[in-house]
This record gives sequence, C-alpha cells and structure tokens, in this order.
Amino acid sequence: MESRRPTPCVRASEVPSSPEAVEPSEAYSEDGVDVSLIRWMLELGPKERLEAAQDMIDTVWMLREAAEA
Amino acid sequence: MRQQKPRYFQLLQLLSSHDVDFIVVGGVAAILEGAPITTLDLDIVYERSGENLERLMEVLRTVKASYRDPAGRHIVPTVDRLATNRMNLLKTDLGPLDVIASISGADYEDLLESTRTRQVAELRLQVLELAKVIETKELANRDKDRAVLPVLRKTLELKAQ
Repeated sequence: MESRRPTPCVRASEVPSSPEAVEPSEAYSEDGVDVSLIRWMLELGPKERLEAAQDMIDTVWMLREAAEA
Repeated sequence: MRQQKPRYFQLLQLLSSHDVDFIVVGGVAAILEGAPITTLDLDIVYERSGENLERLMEVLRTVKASYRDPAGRHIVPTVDRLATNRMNLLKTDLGPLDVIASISGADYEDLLESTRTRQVAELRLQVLELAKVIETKELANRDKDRAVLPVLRKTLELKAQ
C-alpha cells in the first residue's frame, strides 16, 4: 500500500513572505489533541483512512520483526 | 505463539463476500469515520439469526478462528457459542477479531439506526456513527476507552464544522 503523509494545514497563499512573520498555527487543542492529524484524516475517504491505519500496523510489524532479527 | 498481523480490509472483504450481516464498531469504525487512532483488532456486532450465524461461522472457519484464551487453550467458536456469548474475542489468520453480540445492551437491530453505509473500495459496510462509538466507549469506561475519547470527541467536533 502507498504510504501517505499529512498534508499541510496552511495554504501556500496564506504563508507570509517574511519567515520572521511566520507563527505556526496551533496543532494541538487545549486538551492536547493533535488537530492537524484529525484534519488530515478528514480529508481522506474511508478507504484511504483504513489504508493509513493498515500502513501504521504494517510499519509497526516490520519494525518489530527487524528488532527481533 | 506470535499473533497474526491485523489485516482489516481482508477480514471485512471475507465477511462481506459471505453475506454476513454485521456492523463495524469500535476503533475501526472510528478510523473509518475519520479519527486518527490505531487499533489492533476489528470489532463487529453481528445479527443473530441462525442463517447469519452459519455464514459467520463459515468465515471464522476460513480464518481458523479460536478464542484468545488467557490460559492458552485452543477453543474454537461454534454456532451455539456465538448465539449465547455476548463477547467472542478471537484470534484469526487475519489478526484479532472481536465478534460481539451486543454492546452496552444494544444488539445489531438496536445499533442499525445509528450506522451509516460506507463504501470502502468494492465493499459496502455498515459502520457505527462516530457519535455512537463515543457513547459506547463512554459507557464501557475502561482505561483504553477513556484514553482515546478526547481524540474521538475532537474529531466529531471538527466533522460538524
């Protein structure tokens, strides 16, 4: 399965020209939830969401097998 | 013995191809609804008619299902067990599968009105709505449920925006 990464939450047109002016938007809500990951998942369809979860499992399994080798 | 790697899609494909009537609940339902969480098992609530239990048993035989018995005994599911047990926590060739007759007193028929049909590739799945997943986890109130609730609640909030 193709691996996917979270898409940026800020549009290119919204990025200030001066790097000093950049203030990252809050990725975490007040209760510590990573909102950027939720927004990323909500951009995906159900099939892609399931694939993302499966990718995670596959990666963990691969790392576990490598550690045991 | 090492546990098999979960393969959600293949399990769902097998259940669908055998015309099993079931609802996807728990963590995989939350994932399908957009929550960025992980889970190792697929939880389903099944319809308990005799015909459906036979279809479900056929799938369970195909994936060599047995109970995740803490004592390590090899106990296989049967139609009788599926008809009477509320929770059937199984290991299969395609990973852990929790086959559940009812959650918090609600069975397949009760939960059906709180589902939505999700198209996942060629599969049409009945998936428990996120609000109902949250409700069931609040009622279960186990550590693992409480741990994931903030993410589920925030996902529901963002979906509504």
